[in-house]
Amino acid sequence: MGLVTLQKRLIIIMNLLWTCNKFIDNSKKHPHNFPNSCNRRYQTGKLKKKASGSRAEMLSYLVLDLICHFYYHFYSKMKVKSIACMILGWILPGLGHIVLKKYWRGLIFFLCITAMFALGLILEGRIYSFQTENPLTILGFFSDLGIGLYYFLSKTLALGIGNLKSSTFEFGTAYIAGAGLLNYLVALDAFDIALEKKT
Amino acid sequence: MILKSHLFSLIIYAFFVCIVLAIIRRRERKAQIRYFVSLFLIMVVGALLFGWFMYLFIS
Repeated sequence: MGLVTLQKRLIIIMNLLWTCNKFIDNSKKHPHNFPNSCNRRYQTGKLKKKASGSRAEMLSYLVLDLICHFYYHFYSKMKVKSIACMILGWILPGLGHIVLKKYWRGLIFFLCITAMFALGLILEGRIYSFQTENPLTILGFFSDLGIGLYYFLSKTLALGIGNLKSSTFEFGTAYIAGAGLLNYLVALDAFDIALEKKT
Repeated sequence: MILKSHLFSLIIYAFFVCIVLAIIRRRERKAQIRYFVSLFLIMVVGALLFGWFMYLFIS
């Protein structure tokens, strides 16, 4: 296979990937996040390519495509901001919303999830660590991990050991797991708001 | 301790979950309140009904 043929095939594959890309709608909604060269080429969702061309021309298409894809996927300001908000929201409940200037919403999320987590600890619930001995606890681990900073703090301070003899143990564990799962939803909500999919 | 009551714990749990879900799922204030009330009732009444349903199978 010659170099030009290989480049053509690569370009065709990349175009197919691009048109199948689920983020194409965002490029239409938010064209200002793309460089002008990307706008002109991607705004319709289809990239018209020449079937033939010189090696240098094909190579330039390939390089430009790579730059556009790289720019869109990794350096789009909106996407970086939304991922940052999601991570912040995961670390501390409601922080993603507060960064996005949704103060009341962030405060309510913070209070509710923190209260649920605190009640879970008061009720002597257990915070699960990752272990493969009992596979079902892996689900508990992932739900507890959703609470973010509190999870690591409680592990450091040896909280959330759980008291099986207590009558409130099950409820306490459910409170902690519920707080973690809700925090995942809150973080994803902050992600959507940053992407302007929601208000 | 009041939290030893499972019913009370259930109501508090449902209260917090419903607040968060109502704010996430709805944007307008009235819609949020309506969603909160309906979800809260579904959770609490549903749990009570299911509890009584399980009571039938006690041998």
